[in-house]
Amino acid sequence: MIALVLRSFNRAARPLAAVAVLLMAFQLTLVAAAAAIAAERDIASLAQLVPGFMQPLIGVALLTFGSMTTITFFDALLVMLIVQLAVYLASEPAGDVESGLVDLLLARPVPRHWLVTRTLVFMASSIASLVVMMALTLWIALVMFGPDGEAWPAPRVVVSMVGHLTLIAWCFGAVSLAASGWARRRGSAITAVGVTAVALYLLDFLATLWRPLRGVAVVSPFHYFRGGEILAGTANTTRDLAVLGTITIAAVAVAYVAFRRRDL
Amino acid sequence: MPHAAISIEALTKYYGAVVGVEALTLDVAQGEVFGFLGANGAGKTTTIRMLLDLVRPTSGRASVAGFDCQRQGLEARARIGYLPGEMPIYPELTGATYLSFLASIGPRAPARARMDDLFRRFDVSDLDLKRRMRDYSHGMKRKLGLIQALMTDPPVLILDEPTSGLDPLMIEAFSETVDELARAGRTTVFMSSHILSEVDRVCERIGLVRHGRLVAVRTLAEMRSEAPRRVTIHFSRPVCSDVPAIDGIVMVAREAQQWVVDVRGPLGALVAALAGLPIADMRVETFTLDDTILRLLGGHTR
Repeated sequence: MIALVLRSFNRAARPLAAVAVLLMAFQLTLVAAAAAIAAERDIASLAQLVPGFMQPLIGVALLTFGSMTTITFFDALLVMLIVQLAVYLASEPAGDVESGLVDLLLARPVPRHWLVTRTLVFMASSIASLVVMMALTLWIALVMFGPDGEAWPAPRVVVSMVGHLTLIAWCFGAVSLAASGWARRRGSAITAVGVTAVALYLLDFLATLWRPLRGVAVVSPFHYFRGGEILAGTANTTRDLAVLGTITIAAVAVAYVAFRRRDL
Repeated sequence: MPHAAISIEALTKYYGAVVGVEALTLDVAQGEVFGFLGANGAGKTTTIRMLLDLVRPTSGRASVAGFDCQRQGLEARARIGYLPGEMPIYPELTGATYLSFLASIGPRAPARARMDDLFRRFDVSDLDLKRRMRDYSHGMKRKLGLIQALMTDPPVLILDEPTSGLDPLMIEAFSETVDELARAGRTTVFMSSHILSEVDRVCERIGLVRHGRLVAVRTLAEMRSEAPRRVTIHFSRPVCSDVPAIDGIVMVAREAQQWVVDVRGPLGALVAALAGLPIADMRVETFTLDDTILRLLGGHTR
C-alpha cells in the first residue's frame, strides 16, 4: 500500500508543487497588499466599494486587515482551483483503467480496494497538506508583513476556514473517486464532476442574488462554505462540516462498491 | 493428466447481448505450455482477464493453482506472472525504477541472479534501465514486460501476445526461455497468440477459440496427424466414373480431366481406387499446421 501511495505522489508531484507555489505566492502577496492598504488606512473604504448584494459574500472580508488576509481561503477562483485539483487527483483509478496500468497492478496479489484506498489517502492528504500549507504561509506572511497595531485573523476563524476548504475539496474529490469507480476514461470522470462543481458553485452564488433559488441551493456543497459568514461569526460550522463530511463519506462508500463490482 | 494448474469450467461472460466467452471449459496441466488461439475478438483476452479477476464472469468458474480466481483471487494472483497484450508504462519512470516498483507490490522479491539472467537473455543493458520509459521503443517495452512477468519465477505464466513487437532475436530468446521452463516442468505457460509459427515452436497443446467458444483442444502432434493431404489428379482424357466412396477421402473439386481430393490417413486406398483410370499425373501436398488451425477457426483454407 505504501508503495502505491508513494507512486501516486510521485506522479502528481509537479501539478501539486505548481498549485502549492501559486497558493503561497498569492497568500504572501495578499498579506503584503493588505498591509500596504492598512498603512494608508483605506481598508474600511474598500468595503464601501463592494455592491450590496456581494456584501454577504465578501464585504466582511474587507472590513479589517485580519479578515482581508483570509480571502485566500474562500476566494471563488482559489476555492475552485483546489476543488478541481481534488477532482483531478481522485480520478486516478479511472486513469489507471484507461492506461491499462490497473492490469499490471491487479495481476499481482493486490486487493482491488487498495487502489481506491490509495487514491483516497493520496487525494485527502494532498488537499489537507495544501490547505494547512496555506494557513502556515498566512502565518509566515503576517510575521513578515503584518503592520503594527493591526489585529491578525483570529485562530478560530483560520481553523474554521481550513476545515471548510479542506472538506469541500474532499467532498468533490470523493465524488470524483466515485465517478472514476465507473468511468473507463479519466477525462470523463474529471469533466462530469468538474463541470458539476462549477454548476453547483454558480447555483449557490445565484441563490445569494435571487431569493427563489435559496431553497434549491441547499443541495450545493458550496452552500455550506460561506467565507463571509465565517468571518462574521454567523456560520453554523458544526452543521456545515457535518453535511460536507457526510457527502464525502457517502461518495467514498459508493467508490468502493463501484470499483469492487466493475469489470476492468 | 497431472493436477491442473489452470482449470476453467463453463466460463461465460456476456457484455449485454454480446458474447465475450461462452461455456468455456478447459484444463491446463502443471508444467504444460498451452497456446490459446483465436481471431481478434474471439474471447482470448476476456478469458485471460477473468483468470486475473479483472473481468467478472457471468457464470462458470476458473481457478489457478487450485485457487478460485474470483473468491481466492489474491492467492491465485500470487502465483501468476502476467504479460498484458498492450504493455502499460509509467512514462516518467526509468526501466529500473519501474521493475523495482512492480517488485515491491509483487508476491516476493526477485532474486538478483534471476534479474541479471533475464537482462542478459533479453539484451537489456544498464544504460537501457537508466532511461525513462517514455523514450522506450515498443519492442523495449515488451522486453521489460516479459522481464516483469518472469522475474519472480511464478508457477503460472499468462502471456497475452508475448512476442508482438519483438525482433527475431528476441523471439528466439523468448522461445528458448519457454523451452527451459517447459524442460524444468515447474512452470505452466498459458499464452495467447496470433503467430502460428511461434505456437508451433513452443506449445505442446493448443486451444482454439471462435466467437467466444472453444472449438478444439489438441496436442500439436494430434493436429499434424489430423491434417489432410491434398491430392490433385490429372487424367489424360475426360473421366466419367464416380468418385470412389472411401473413408477419409473428400472431393474438393472435380473437372473432366482433374480431381482435387483431401485425404486423411494413408494414400493406399485412393491409389487402389484409381486403378484403371487414365492417370497422367498426381501431385500430393501436405497441409501445414496453419491450414489446419485456420480451417478449425473457420478461416480460409487453401
